[in-house]
Amino acid sequence: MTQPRPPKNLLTHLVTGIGYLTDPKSPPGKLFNRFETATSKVFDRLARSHTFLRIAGKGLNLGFMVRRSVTAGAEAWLHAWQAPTLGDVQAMRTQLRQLGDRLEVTQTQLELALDALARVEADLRATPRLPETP
Amino acid sequence: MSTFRTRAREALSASLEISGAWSRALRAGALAPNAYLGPIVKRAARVGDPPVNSTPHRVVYTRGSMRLLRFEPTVRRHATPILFVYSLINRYYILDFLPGRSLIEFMRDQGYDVYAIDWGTPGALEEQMNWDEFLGGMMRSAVQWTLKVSGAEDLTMYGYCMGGTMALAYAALYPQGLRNFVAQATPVDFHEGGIFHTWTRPEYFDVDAMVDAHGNVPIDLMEAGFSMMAPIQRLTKWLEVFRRIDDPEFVTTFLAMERWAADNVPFPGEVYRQYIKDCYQENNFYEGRMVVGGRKVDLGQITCPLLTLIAENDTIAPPPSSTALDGKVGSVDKTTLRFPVGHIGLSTSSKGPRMIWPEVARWIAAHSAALPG
Repeated sequence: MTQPRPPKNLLTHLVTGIGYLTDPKSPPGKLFNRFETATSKVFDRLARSHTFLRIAGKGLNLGFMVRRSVTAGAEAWLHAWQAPTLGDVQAMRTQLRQLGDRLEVTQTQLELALDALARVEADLRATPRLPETP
Repeated sequence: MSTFRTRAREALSASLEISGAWSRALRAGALAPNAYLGPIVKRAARVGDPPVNSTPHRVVYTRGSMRLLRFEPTVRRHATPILFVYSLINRYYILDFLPGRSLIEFMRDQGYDVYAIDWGTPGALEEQMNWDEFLGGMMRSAVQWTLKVSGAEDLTMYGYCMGGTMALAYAALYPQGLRNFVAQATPVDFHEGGIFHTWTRPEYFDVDAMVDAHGNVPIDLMEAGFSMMAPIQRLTKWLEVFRRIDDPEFVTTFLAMERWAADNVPFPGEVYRQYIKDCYQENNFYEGRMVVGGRKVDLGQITCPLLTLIAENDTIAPPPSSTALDGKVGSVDKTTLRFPVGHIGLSTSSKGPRMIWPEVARWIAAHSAALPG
């Protein structure tokens, strides 16, 4: 961050100008600040308004319903042509994932078993051998 | 004349660069202001891309889209490793923000063997996964591999935001191997969850319709929700950067934060459904009624030492939502630390390395095992 920086460009001046015009300490900025506070209050009230939230929720639900119907329609059409749908591919992916997981579990168990074997082997080596009785 | 030519050439190259970035953002359907204002600020401030997520690490385990990352210390001073668990919504690297302002880097430099779960970008496979698969499958494996790689018997689990909620559920179900728990800005009593609790009330929000229609919850929908929290400030905060365009450190930190905030991942569908119902709508998590893998999540089962970190200006996990944890856990050793910052400020503000993290590191050190020998 301490590297020498290139000189100011036109964009720097433009941006600084906008910054000044909206600075709460500058005369035009005071006006902007008042506008900002007022709009924030409106949005804050809206975000907590029961009526707005109900309408927004209904709008969202309608969007979800349309999307679901379009997807279901497309899948039905593809099924009619006996073509694999996204749902079919996903079901296959799930099966593949389950296979992968099973393989991973076996690998982990094998690693743990090998670790345990290595420990037993080390213990056996560390134990002094008793002389064999005739 | 040559100065004029240089300036004209510069203006032309700036307009080409910015219009290129805008057309890419428009094609991608980006909603975050960073996609449109970021290139202007970078050019005007004459700074490069912020160096986020720069602490060296290596991947020690993967499972599905999840990766377990290890940040190994040069000199290890504590036997107990730390495992960071982050939310499924954003990317984990807010914890490894900028050099000198990275919680992970700080803990590593304190001599901790640090691990972090990166949930990755969920795809079709993660869409059907539920809490049981995330907690009993992925997180359990992450804990086992952390212990295995670090050669420790137990670890400090460090949950942040929604990652804290997940980590608490994990700790209640699988307390073995956990020596300490740190809950940073973690929502626990969701009926104290501020505006999110209001918005997700069943009469306004039908989570089933959303998950059935989309599967994984798309980034755009999540972004739209976050924007509604403070839509005007989301834009006007850029004006503050315009005013401080000659302060490269401020601009870099701001751009890094905006880059992280715009770098969201979709929320895995089935987990989202359960999260909204069990946490925000019915408060089952807090009340001990949430069921994961056929078992009830009882926070009373957590008996290890607990550190709760509260951001006093937090609007995502408001303080009353987090402080409720103390009364629910079975731990005897409980500490709460409060700091005058916002939700993200605990991990990124300049107060972090000066005031917040040293205290956290001290608490963890006092509760960690010493290295043998």
